[in-house]
This record gives sequence, C-alpha cells and structure tokens, in this order.
Amino acid sequence: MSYLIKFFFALILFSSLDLVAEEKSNYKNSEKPYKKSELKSGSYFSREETRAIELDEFENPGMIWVERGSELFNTHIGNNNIACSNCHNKNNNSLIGVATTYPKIYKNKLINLEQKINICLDNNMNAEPYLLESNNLLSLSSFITYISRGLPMSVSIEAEAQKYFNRGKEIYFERVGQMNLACNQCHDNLAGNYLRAEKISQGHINGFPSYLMRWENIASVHRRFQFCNNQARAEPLKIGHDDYNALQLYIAWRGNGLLLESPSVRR
Amino acid sequence: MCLRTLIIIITNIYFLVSYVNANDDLISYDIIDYSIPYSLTNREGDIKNGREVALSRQGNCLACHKVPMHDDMFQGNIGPSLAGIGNRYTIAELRLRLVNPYVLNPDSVMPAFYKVRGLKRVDKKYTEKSILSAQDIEDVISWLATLKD
Ligand code: HEC
Ligand code: HEC
Ligand code: HEC
Repeated sequence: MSYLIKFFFALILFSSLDLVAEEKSNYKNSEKPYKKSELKSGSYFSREETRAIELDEFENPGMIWVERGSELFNTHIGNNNIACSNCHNKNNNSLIGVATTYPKIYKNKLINLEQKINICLDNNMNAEPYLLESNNLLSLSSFITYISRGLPMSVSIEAEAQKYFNRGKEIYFERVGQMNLACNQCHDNLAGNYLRAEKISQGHINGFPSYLMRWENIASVHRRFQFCNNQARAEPLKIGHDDYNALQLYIAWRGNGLLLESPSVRR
Repeated sequence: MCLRTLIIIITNIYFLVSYVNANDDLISYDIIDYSIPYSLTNREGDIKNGREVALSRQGNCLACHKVPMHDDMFQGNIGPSLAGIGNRYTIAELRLRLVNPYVLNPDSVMPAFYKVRGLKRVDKKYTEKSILSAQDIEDVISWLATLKD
C-alpha cells in the first residue's frame, strides 16, 4: 500500500517537474517572432514625413511633454515640499536607464512606469497621485523615458514576472472582438502590409509615450492597446489593468534590445 | 429526491430556451461544398447598395482589399485584390466567404460578417450583432459578382 502511495507521489513530482521545464521553455529566444536582426522599431514603418518630425527635436510635438515633465521633476510637490530631483539626480538614485526595465515587479505586483511614479508621489512626497493618462503623469513619464533615449529595452521576465509574462503572451494570441482578431495576426504575420492607409509595424513599444497626430496628444502604451482593441471592436480594458501590464511585459520582452525612441510620433 | 428532479427539469428548460434563442437572432444557413447555395433573404441583392456598403466604413473591405475602378488612395493589401472576383467565384461561394470565412481558413484575418457566437470580449456596442445584416450581405455579394475582368 505504502509503495503505491510513494509511486503516486513520485508520479506527481515528475509530472510537475515536467511542467516547470515546459514553462521555462516557453520563453526561449527562438520562440520570439522576430530574431534580433529582424527587430524593427515602429518608426521604420512610418511615413518619411512622420519620421522626419519625430527625429527633429524642435518639431517633435512630444517634446512639449518632455519639457513639461522636466519642469515638474524639479518642482516641489506635495506636503513634504520636496521635488523629485531632490532624491533623483546625477549623484543619487539616478533615473537614467530605469525606463528600459518597465514594466517591473514591485512588491509582488507588476507595475508600469506611470504607476511607479504615482507610488513615489504617494510614499516619498506625501502627494496626491496623478490620474492615469493625465497630462502631468504622462509628462513625468515622458521625461523619465526621454533620459533613457538610445538605451536598449531590457525588461526581465524572471521570477515573479514570469506568471505575468505567460498571461501577457496568452492575451497577445487571443482572438477578441466582433472582428475576432488577435494582436499576432497583424503585428507578427502582416507587418509591412497596409491596413487602409497604415503600414502595419511589428507593434513594439520602444517609442512610448508616443505622440499621436490624430489625437494631437501623447498616449501611454495602455492607451494604444485600447485603440487596437477598439479597432477589433473588442471591449477595451481600463488603463492600468493588470492584464494590460502583462501584455505590455510580453510586448516589451519581444522587443528587448530595441533602443528607446520616446517620444515617437505616429499618425 | 423531488428537489433534484425539479432542478434537473429547470436546468433543462433553461438550456432549451437558450438554445432556441441562440438560433433565433441569425437566419440559419446550410454549407454545402464550401458554399452557401441559398440566399439569406427573399429579396434580390441590390448591387448599388452593395457597393456602398462594401466601400464605406460599414463593410470596410478597403481596409484589406483593393477594389478596381475605385480611386480611393488608401486601399489595404492584406487580402487579394477584388478585381475579377466575379469570374473566380460563384455567388454561393462568395456568400460563404462573407458569412463565415473560417470554414475556408480557420486563421483568416477576414472577419465573419454574419456571426455572433463564439466571439470573446466583444465591445458592448456590438454584442449580439453581426457586422452586416443578412440583406447587406446579399447586396454586397451581388455587387462582387459584377466585378469581372
Ligand atoms: C524622498 C525621496 C524621493 C522623492 C522625492 C522621489 N523619489 Fe522616486 N524613488 C525614491 C527611492 C528611495 C526609490 C527607490 C526605492 C523604490 O523603488 O521605492 C525611488 C524610485 C523611483 C523610481 C523607480 C526606479 C527604479 O529603479 O525602478 C522612479 C521611476 C521614481 N522613483 C520616480 C520619481 C518621480 C517621478 C518623483 C517625483 C514625482 C520621485 N521619484 C520622487 C525616492 C524618492
Ligand atoms: C487589424 C490589425 C491589428 C490588430 C489585430 C492589432 N493591431 Fe496594433 N496596430 C495596427 C496598426 C495598423 C497600427 C498603426 C501602425 C503601426 O504602428 O503598426 C498599430 C499600432 C500598434 C502599436 C504602436 C506601434 C508603434 O510603433 O507606435 C502597438 C503597441 C500595437 N499596435 C499593439 C497591438 C496590440 C497589443 C494588439 C492586440 C491587443 C494589436 N496591436 C492588435 C493594427 C493592428
Ligand atoms: C481585416 C482584413 C479584411 C477585411 C476587412 C476584409 N477582408 Fe476579404 N479577405 C481578407 C484576406 C486576408 C483574404 C484572403 C483569404 C484568407 O486569408 O482568408 C480575404 C479574401 C477575400 C475574398 C476571396 C478572394 C480570393 O481571391 O480568393 C473575397 C471575395 C473577400 N475577401 C471579400 C471581402 C469583402 C467583400 C469585404 C468587405 C465586406 C472583405 N473581404 C473584408 C481580409 C479581409
């Protein structure tokens, strides 16, 4: 009898080991849709005029948010009467390079850069957090991303991030909406083709926050996800939703190695 | 014992009713030999309206297809050009293509224009609605049939 029980335990143990091995192999590099040499930033697919505006810092409208963010970064905010730059500067806790690592695990939960900024406002400055997608918050995240411009995206999908990664991948391949479309159908299979007037890119997020000319406004990654969901006539999720963070992690990982280009300009 | 029977009866009725409802909102059709031979409606297709539906945001065919003799600069190239489509397919085959392209290609990016079940996370504005009505589909395919080389 006890042999039988041991046998069952062994069986369960072996099968769970198998599961672990499978999870690991889930994110082998070979499984990325694009090899490193084939990775192309969104600006590669955008029109020449649009790309020219992006590259010209005086013409790029996204720079307005960067500048506003830089001002805010040096302004005293909240009840502690302190500025971000008091704690984050060249010599101390520098934020250069930080944007390449988001979304990232903080206290067992995956959060994006905007959410991290709000945590700092709340915890370190005794200030009211900003509304997600508000002008002030996107200004700060635009500025913090801008100072990492030219550095390679390098999110981690290890340890606690792994389960979010798996969830994000699931969402990426899930067909949704009245149009019954999944992200991969356009951004893996049809990159380079035209959907109406728009050339479909590989769907990377190394240019976010990104200035959208159609809205004359800057957009976060989650706002862009909502837009792509809308086009498939799928119910969009709330900005800041765990599932959008998971999706953002999967997409960021897909583009690990691409250089940060924010603020990018798109139609 | 009595309660159990009651529960079984109630769930049965529930499933029966939901089954009837499921078949209620769309006209049913038979797929024969990769085509749908019978019209979804009893009115003949209106070619002019069909063209309008296809080229407007309603059908949005231009998102993915080029259409001959139409000088919109912005035509997609995800699907094949619709030039000469009337030579290549019968009306019955075109009807299946619009109603349910997944029968032909399960991975198709072309949406099923006459489908409401089996879709996930559909925007509330569009739940329980097909992209096109049965008559619009009949109109569009009668227009497609006129596209001959
Ligand atoms: C009182 C000091 C203090 C102030 C003021 C402050 N921070 Fe922080 N911040 C920290 C500390 C300490 C950390 C690292 C610990 C942590 O992650 O919570 C940090 C972490 C961060 C991170 C994440 C860094 C990483 O490596 O992931 C960001 C982004 C950030 N702060 C942005 C801001 C912004 C924007 C402001 C102003 C709105 C601000 N902080 C104000 C102390 C501060
Ligand atoms: C029907 C095709 C289609 C589907 C499905 C689709 N997208 Fe897109 N997506 C586009 C087009 C077209 C654009 C605008 C051109 C471009 O930048 O690729 C775009 C842009 C983007 C961008 C901005 C890229 C950049 O460089 O600025 C991201 C990010 C993105 N999509 C993510 C997604 C995600 C996530 C999904 C799934 C939830 C998705 N897309 C589904 C067509 C699609
Ligand atoms: C999101 C993209 C998309 C949209 C929108 C779309 N199609 Fe398609 N269509 C395709 C693709 C891709 C194919 C190629 C076959 C396949 O992959 O299923 C196709 C194939 C076809 C074919 C068969 C062509 C051939 O030569 O075999 C017809 C006819 C057709 N579509 C008509 C239409 C009409 C009419 C509309 C508008 C009411 C439309 N399509 C909207 C993507 C689309």
